[in-house]
Amino acid sequence: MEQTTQEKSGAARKLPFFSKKGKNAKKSFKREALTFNYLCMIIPVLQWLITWLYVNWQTIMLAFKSPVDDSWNFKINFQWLWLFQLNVDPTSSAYDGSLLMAIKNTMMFFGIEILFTLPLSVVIAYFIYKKIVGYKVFRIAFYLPAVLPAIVMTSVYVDVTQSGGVIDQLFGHVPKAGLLGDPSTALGAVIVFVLLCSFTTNVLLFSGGMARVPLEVLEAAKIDGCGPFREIVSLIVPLVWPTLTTQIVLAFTGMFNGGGPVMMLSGGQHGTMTISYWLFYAIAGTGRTAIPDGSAGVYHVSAVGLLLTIIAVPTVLLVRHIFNKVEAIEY
Amino acid sequence: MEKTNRAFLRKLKKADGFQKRSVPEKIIFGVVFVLFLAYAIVIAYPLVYLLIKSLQYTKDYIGATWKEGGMPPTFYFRSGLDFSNYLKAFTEMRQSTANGEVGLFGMLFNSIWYTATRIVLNVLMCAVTGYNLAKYKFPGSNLLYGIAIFSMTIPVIGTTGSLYKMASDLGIYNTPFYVILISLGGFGFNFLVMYGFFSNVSWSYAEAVFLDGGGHWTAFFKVMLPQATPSLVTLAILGFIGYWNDYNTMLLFLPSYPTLASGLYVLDLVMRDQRPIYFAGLVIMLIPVLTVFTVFSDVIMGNMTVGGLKG
Repeated sequence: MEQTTQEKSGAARKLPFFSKKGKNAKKSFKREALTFNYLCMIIPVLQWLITWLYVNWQTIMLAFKSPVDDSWNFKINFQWLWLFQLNVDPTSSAYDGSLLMAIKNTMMFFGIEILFTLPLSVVIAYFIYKKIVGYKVFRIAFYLPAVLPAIVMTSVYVDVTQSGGVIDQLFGHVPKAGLLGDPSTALGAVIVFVLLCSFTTNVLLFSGGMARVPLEVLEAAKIDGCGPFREIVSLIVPLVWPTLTTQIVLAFTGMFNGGGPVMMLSGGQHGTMTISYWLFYAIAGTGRTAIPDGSAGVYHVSAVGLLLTIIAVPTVLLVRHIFNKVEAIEY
Repeated sequence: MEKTNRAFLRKLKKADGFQKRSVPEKIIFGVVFVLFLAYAIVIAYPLVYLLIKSLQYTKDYIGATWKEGGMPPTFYFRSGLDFSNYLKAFTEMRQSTANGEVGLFGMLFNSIWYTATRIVLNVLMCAVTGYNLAKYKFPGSNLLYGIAIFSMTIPVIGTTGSLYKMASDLGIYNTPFYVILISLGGFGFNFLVMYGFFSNVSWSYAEAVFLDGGGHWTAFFKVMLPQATPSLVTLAILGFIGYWNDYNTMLLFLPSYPTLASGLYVLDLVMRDQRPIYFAGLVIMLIPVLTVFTVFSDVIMGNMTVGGLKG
């Protein structure tokens, strides 16, 4: 990619000029190009400086500042986290200890993504690639959760899982507060929702990856005596491998973002808190009330963010490094 | 019945590759078909459910949902269909904010300008950065490309606090200027798509413009950008779905400008006793996004490849 870019920009330099003052014209042309480049880049670069560099820098700074008066205080936020979020009996109050639970749940959702969502997506994509009857409809069905607004899906889900709702009518045994309102069932109900809605782009990407080899080639291989095992090992796995590694790396990049729209399903209550909702909740409350200006949450969120980033960055870099090596062997 | 079965079997046989499958394979495909069908029904069910519930009289809805006095069926229309729920959604759904009450029309308006601003500015910015970095070598261009890739791959967590503080400090918290600021980003996924696209477009188109006496701006806006229309449209469609459904940004940074997505979330609690009207509101929110998806599903489905999107 880099080389072609250079070749093409090289072409710009070699542009023929027919005037007598060719050299000067070339110089002024180059100057115009530079002006064009810098004028074009100034807004996106400024935007990046503000919303990425400054914001991330501030996240580190805020973690070490006091929520009381914005002065330097290296301990206060971490002390608060330790005392009220990580080192307490989680049942003592609604908010205390919820970060600990959030970390546990988020790690579980991450595990589900790696162990269930991604492998299942490959299997689903395989059958779609093999043109199972109605595959066009199924492809849309698997992608649909990415299109439908979260509030629509969650509102219906909350409705059907409540006591007396459709699930209750079909199977019974729904607690009085609903599946999402009871501590014994809430987390399970969230997991089912997340799993149902998780295939979306994965299936499209994997079947797109497989489609690089036309189905006829597989059929031909089969006639030549290629069994199903060999088909999977020698054809499907190599076809899916680059997409799979990319998706795994992406899953690691978003390892602390998992859990789906917990806010709309259970409000993070009954043992369903996740890190991403905790980070939201600490600033916006339930999102249904106005944000309290100058809330301590800004500082607490930054401290948590810093701690998690310290874990996430090396993990992601390591995973990328490993998969880059494996990929090099495969391809 | 017999006839339809035969017709169905004929169709099955016509389906690609079906006849070539061995018996065990056919059994596996049959089982998977049933599982897929079950999944498709589960996923399509909310849409049907929503439509039916939005047409119920409130008293029927309550009767159908709670266990008081036996358990009537879910799809319960003892009093008939209540189409007025849709009218009431526009007249009765109101969210109070710091800037006064916002009704469904207001939310619709906010959804439209929010989605449009984010798509237009972001896609345009990414086209500009993608074009400049793919087609020109200038001092700092490598650094900028590196920055674009670096900021995409480094997972920084918990920046909401700092974003919130930044918006407050700049005085753009709870104003549309915040939307403009975050939309002007020229890096990220959309940048990669546009960079990839422009890398594959021949530079001779621009050279032709230069020979005709045109400058770099003319080459970009008149010749290169129009060629990118398919990519721009794809990004705009994906952006539409994402931004139309986005509720976090409004809840966190623009609480006085509820869109349909964020406003309905707030009204979810308020309208506990008027579920059919609330569901009618959800249907209204769903119509644009479902229309876009139906019309452009081929574009969305067809453009997903290994590396993400192609032009």
